[in-house]
Amino acid sequence: MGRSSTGPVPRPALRGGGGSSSSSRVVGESGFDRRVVRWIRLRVRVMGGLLAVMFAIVSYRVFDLQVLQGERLGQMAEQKALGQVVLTPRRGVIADRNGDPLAISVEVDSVFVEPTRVEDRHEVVSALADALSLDPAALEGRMQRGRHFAWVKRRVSPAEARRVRELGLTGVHLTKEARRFYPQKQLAAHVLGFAGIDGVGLEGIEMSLDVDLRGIARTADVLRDARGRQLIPGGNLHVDRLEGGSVTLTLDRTLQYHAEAALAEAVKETEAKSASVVVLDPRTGEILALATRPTFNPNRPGDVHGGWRRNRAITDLYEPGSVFKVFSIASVLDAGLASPEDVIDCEKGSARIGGRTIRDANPHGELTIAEIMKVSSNIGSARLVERLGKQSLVDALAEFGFGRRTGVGMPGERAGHLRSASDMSDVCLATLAFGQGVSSTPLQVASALAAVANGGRLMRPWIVREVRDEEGRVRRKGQAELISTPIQESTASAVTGMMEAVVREGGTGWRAAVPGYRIAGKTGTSQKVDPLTRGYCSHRRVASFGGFVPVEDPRLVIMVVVDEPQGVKYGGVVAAPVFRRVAEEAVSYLGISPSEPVEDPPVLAAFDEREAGAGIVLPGFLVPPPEGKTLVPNVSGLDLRGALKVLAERHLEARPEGAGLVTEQDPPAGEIVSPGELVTLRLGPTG
Amino acid sequence: MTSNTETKSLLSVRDQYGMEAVDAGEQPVDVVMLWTVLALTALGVVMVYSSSAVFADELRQDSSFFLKRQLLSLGLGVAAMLFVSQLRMDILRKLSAPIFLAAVVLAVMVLIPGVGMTERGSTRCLPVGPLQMQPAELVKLGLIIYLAAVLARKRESVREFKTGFLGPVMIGTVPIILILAQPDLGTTFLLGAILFLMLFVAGARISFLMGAVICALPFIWYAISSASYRMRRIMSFLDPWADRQDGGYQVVESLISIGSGSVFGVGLGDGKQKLFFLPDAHNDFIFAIIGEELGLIGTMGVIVLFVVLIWRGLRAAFKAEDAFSAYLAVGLTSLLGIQAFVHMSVVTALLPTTGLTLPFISYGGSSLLICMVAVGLLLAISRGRGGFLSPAPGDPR
Repeated sequence: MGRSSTGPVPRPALRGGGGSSSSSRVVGESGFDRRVVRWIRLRVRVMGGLLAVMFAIVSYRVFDLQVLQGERLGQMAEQKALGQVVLTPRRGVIADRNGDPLAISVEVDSVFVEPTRVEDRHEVVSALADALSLDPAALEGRMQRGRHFAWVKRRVSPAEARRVRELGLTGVHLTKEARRFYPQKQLAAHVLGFAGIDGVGLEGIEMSLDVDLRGIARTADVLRDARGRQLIPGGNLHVDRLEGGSVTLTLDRTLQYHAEAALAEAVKETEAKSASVVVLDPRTGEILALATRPTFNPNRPGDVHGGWRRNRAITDLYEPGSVFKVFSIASVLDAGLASPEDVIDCEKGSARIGGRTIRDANPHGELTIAEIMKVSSNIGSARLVERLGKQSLVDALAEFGFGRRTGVGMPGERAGHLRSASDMSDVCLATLAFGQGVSSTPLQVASALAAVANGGRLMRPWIVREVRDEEGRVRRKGQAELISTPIQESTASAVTGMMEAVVREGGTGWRAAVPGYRIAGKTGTSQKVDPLTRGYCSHRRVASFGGFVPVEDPRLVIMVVVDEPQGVKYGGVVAAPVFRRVAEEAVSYLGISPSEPVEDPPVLAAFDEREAGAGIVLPGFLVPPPEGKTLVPNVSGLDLRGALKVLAERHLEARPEGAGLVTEQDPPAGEIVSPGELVTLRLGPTG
Repeated sequence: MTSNTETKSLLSVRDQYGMEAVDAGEQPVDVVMLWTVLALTALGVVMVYSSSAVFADELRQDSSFFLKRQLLSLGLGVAAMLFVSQLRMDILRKLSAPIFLAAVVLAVMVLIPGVGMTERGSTRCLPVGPLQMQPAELVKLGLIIYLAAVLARKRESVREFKTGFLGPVMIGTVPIILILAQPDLGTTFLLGAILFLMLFVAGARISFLMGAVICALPFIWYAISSASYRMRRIMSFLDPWADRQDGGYQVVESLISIGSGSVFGVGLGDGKQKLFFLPDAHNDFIFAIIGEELGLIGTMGVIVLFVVLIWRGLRAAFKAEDAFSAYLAVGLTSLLGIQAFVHMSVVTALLPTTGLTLPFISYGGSSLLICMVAVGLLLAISRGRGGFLSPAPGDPR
């Protein structure tokens, strides 16, 4: 065609093939019929007009939508944007004082179905019932009730979830739900309590701090797209990350473990009905360990009888027995009515007071007050409190915290009974001196002992170190709180000296001794009141031992109560070894240095066991290993991680075999080896 | 235009403007059109980022993923526009047949199984290294250029059915069928409309045109009814609210989006509909996001810009020095105008849902590049001093 665009150069008209319909033709400069060009010009303008009309229509439509209908449509967008969804946070973590988690929330699968989307209901029901071991009829019923949504099974196991996933049924879905998980299983179960399937705390800390742990369910404006996903404007608030407040306890997981292990062993050996251990820091009142037997696994609380879940250290009352002499004697001393060297006649083991006969287990003549404590003379202590009188004794004991709740902050705590002076007979006064006719919880006794250990200052026992809210801000902080000062510091140290004698040779509590450490303690063996006869049973006893370590700067108060041990029932035999085991592990774990260099093992034969009967197999003392050697710890019952940690603390290597919990170990616990020794661990499935 | 000017600045059109003014008789490039297009592309970049950031973050963990690609395409597009604006129309006319052929070949290639990339049931893209290319975009341009050349050659015989009318219709039918096969009903319709308008402007008889449309009706009906989703789209177009959760979903969300913007909009970046409510917010429904975030001010602004563009496009046709340039300008203007109209109409539920982008604004490299080339060609034509459509002395204006 040539360069036709070079300019308005007139060119000859090129006739197209075929005729033209126009009758007259003016040929234009571009070789076109001028009339045709006019037509084209017109048509371009028509086209422009057409486009203008089209855009006018669009403009009107936009105006209509944005201005005339704008409000209505905007409200629809708003409504959608303001579709609110309640976001329930995951239950917060409960951790021990070092931050080791004791209760956490994990995401597990739950299966639900959209009944309207199911293709073949019968097939789906039978497949699901099969995969999840459900009752097909019940599932069928649920699917009929819910048109758009029905739970099939909540919180399924990973294996079940996998089976459902493999089925690949349309309309059947898995969603993540939070489930409470207690990674330490039974450890501190009574303190923690447990939470139900709907995430409500039902017992223990889970119950008392339920509101904090649950956190504030908040409503959020949620957008939902065609895929059903939820979006929260702002973006930083993500459903998955919402977690309730967290709780840090004063418990120490390691001490708790040792307390539980020692308790479990004692319960097994003595076939006791139940038992508790409380470990307190006397300086602050913090509860470092609180163990109870029988126990339960909070992951499966329904497996046991309800009574097993009771936190007996705070809910069960017992008569404290001879341990109580610490408080009665301390009260008399504090009133200045006696001094430790004063001599009391113990009337050869039998004394008539108020028309009743009071007896000692072993008859004594004249004893100093220190000796009364050491040999645990009932008569001596009864005679001593007579100097104080009813009212003063009751007041003094109330100062120690008896007869009222400690306020530890766990559900179900009981106050115990301390008789008032007005309805107290002379016999009652006498028996009160050695812990009869008064009831208390193990925690109360532990707390009162802590007052003696703490120079006479009674601190409120507490277990919640810190509560943080959802954002991690500290909401509450536990604090040491002085409740009262039942005795002066000088009295406290005098009583402590007497209690130290109890644990030495010739004392009733020698089994509590830990070589190298100065320990103060007191045994107790109380008779139980028969609920039918309202009199004391001859054969049912509560054996107890309470004490603290080390005497020069008490760090730990350990109170052991064993209810209804079979066989030998004396506190010095049943409870004192539990104290020793816990104290031994605790001082090594806490790095408390010995009070004095360790000598040869004490001679066991030279001792006069007054509370104990004959023929008892005496547990051997564990001697701290010589320099450069280490003691093989007992790791049985721990999981592999826990066992490795314990072994590593003693610089020992491990060779695990199998999976599960440690069932056997070689060399056995107590062996003295060189650091770096290889310990073979056999692991087996959980009992 | 001399070879001298060809070597001059490809970078600055304003330079050219100054130089052309003193050059012998050359008209200045259409600065109004240039600024209009630059305003549209600038708005486009902003809106692509605003409407895609959340989606891109979810898709690629990079909220500016689409922004970066759009900026890259825009850079290429501006370069292409400047280059094309220097082209001589006679050279383009000679190249019209090869360009058309190449576009048709690519449109065929995309249909070959294994070569084209299928996405959501349609095969529209060809992989070009790490990028993708949409032959349909090139087909639009190729068809317009070739039709302009053919119609310019046929001249008045366009009025004759066998010699002038049937040929261009056949030429147009080939790419239309190829695009329909992808399937891409929106572009098919667009090509048909361009063909119709170009034939109309070139002087085809109204009766032929009407006849062609009537002949096409059964095919259109078949194309719609053969695929159930298209039928559903039509039905949901007629009453989107009746089928809100399914077929009408996109339309309803689009209406809510544009309506909630009201006069002043909810504010740039504050729109909620792009948060996965409105699928394809950054391309097929970007006008809705403009409406939501910028309100009536934004939508009217865009409409005005397009009207100005059409006005300047048709003005270029009047400035064309020959028939080819004039028809080309008409074709390109109708391409941009109709595509913008269809996009806005879909978003405002005036037309059933098709997948057409809003020229210069929507995300999409091929689309943006082709639009910029189209503007480049219009700019080149705009420099003409008129001739073909200039009124002869004594002609009524």
